[in-house]
Amino acid sequence: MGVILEVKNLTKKFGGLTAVNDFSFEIKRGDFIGLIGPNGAGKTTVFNLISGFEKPSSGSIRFDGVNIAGLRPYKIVNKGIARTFQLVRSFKFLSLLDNVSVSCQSRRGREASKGVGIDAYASSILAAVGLVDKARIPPVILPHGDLRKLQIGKALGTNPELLLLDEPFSGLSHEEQQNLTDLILRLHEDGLTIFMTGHVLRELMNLVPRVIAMHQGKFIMDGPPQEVANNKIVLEAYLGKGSEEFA
Amino acid sequence: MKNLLEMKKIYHYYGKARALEEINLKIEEKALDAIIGPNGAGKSTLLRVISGLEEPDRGKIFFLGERIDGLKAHRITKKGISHCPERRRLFYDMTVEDNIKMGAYVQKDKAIYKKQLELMFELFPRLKERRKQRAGTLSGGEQQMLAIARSFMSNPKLLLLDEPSLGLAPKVKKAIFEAIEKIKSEGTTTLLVEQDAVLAMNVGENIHLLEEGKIEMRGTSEQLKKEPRIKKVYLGI
Repeated sequence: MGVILEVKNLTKKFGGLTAVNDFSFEIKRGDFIGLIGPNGAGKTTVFNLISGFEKPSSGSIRFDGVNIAGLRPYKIVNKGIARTFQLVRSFKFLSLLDNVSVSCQSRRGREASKGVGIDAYASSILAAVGLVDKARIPPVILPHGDLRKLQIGKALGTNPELLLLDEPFSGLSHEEQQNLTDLILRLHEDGLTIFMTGHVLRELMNLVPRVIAMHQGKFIMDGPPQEVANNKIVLEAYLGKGSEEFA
Repeated sequence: MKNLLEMKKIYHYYGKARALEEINLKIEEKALDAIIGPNGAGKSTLLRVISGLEEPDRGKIFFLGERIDGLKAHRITKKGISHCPERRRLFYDMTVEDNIKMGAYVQKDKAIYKKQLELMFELFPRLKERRKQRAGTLSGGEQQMLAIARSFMSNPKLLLLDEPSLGLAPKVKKAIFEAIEKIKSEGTTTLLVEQDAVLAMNVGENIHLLEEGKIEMRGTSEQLKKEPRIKKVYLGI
């Protein structure tokens, strides 16, 4: 399958700090990939650069062959990339249906809802994320696990081809994590390309077939989770220098 | 050796998410123990529950044989537990010296204050040189030194150190950890939380491995280094 996202020599500096340093990788259509790295590695900054929330200092980000580096977030959404955030953000006092309907008003969302109408399209998305029975409820009274699903629903409202999930498991209970895992797997099986971060690795490493590891803004390696977990530099990044002596 | 601190079946929740599950922990007097574990394992919560910044939902905590769970943080500080928080939390607009003084607000004895101050300046000569400078103008390593010095000024019986190596260059990490060992050798019981497992194992006598709120394993660093499970806990696979 073809390359959907090609990131080349991506660099982002904040003053004297290089948060992302000459970072390159590729994602193919239909891929299901994790981005890992210890706290402060630069994972969220990579997501912010791809989704337009930060402008790169240098380097290119090609989506479907077109350079999108430095475009505004809504333009990137219109091209087919949607994201969720580490901290849940909802329209607290609107119903879940209206929360999703807002993103269905995006260009791609309107195109996808042609014929059926925004409400029916938004309902179908709520059904896909398992929240359709709560369509009339506002997020303010929902548990955290449901709010996470809502974030994914809002992203899906823009009918993306590539979905970026930033730390989707953080702060969830075991049962909620399992629920969310099922949802993400279903979306992937339906053909969505998914790129997700996680600093708690138990869920992520057992979910995705491939991970990209980064540390201090730099690319370390790209491969199956088992291989990445045995890489000396990855181990050092997580456990500290000298960890290769561990069993 | 007698136990300075004892935690019995401690549970703590943030909403529905369980942060700590059945924590049993004993810290002997004069020990230097370390809690290791990946991000989100509950390490900082464990320290916060001890120092009273969080009240445990269930379980008991004894300090010198006396129940302290449920007490307010300032009362626990007065009893002799000092908490050096993650990311330092200095008073950045105050001078180095004033930050240090703030740490001594429960220490009314001038003689002890002077002795502690001298010890800290001996341990961290950089802080002495910079004592009139605003804390916000210090480097990351110096700020960490100041945070440790501040928490030591109350002359604690138990010092809780949360991620003292966070964001520091290897050389600076080394200096900080030498200071921690020195503080220990002066007789202060220390409980250290560290993500850098190697650093923690180099100084810690007893290592407690935390995963998803539970103590999964404990032992000396020699014992734990032989355990393949540590890598699995950190890397999830």
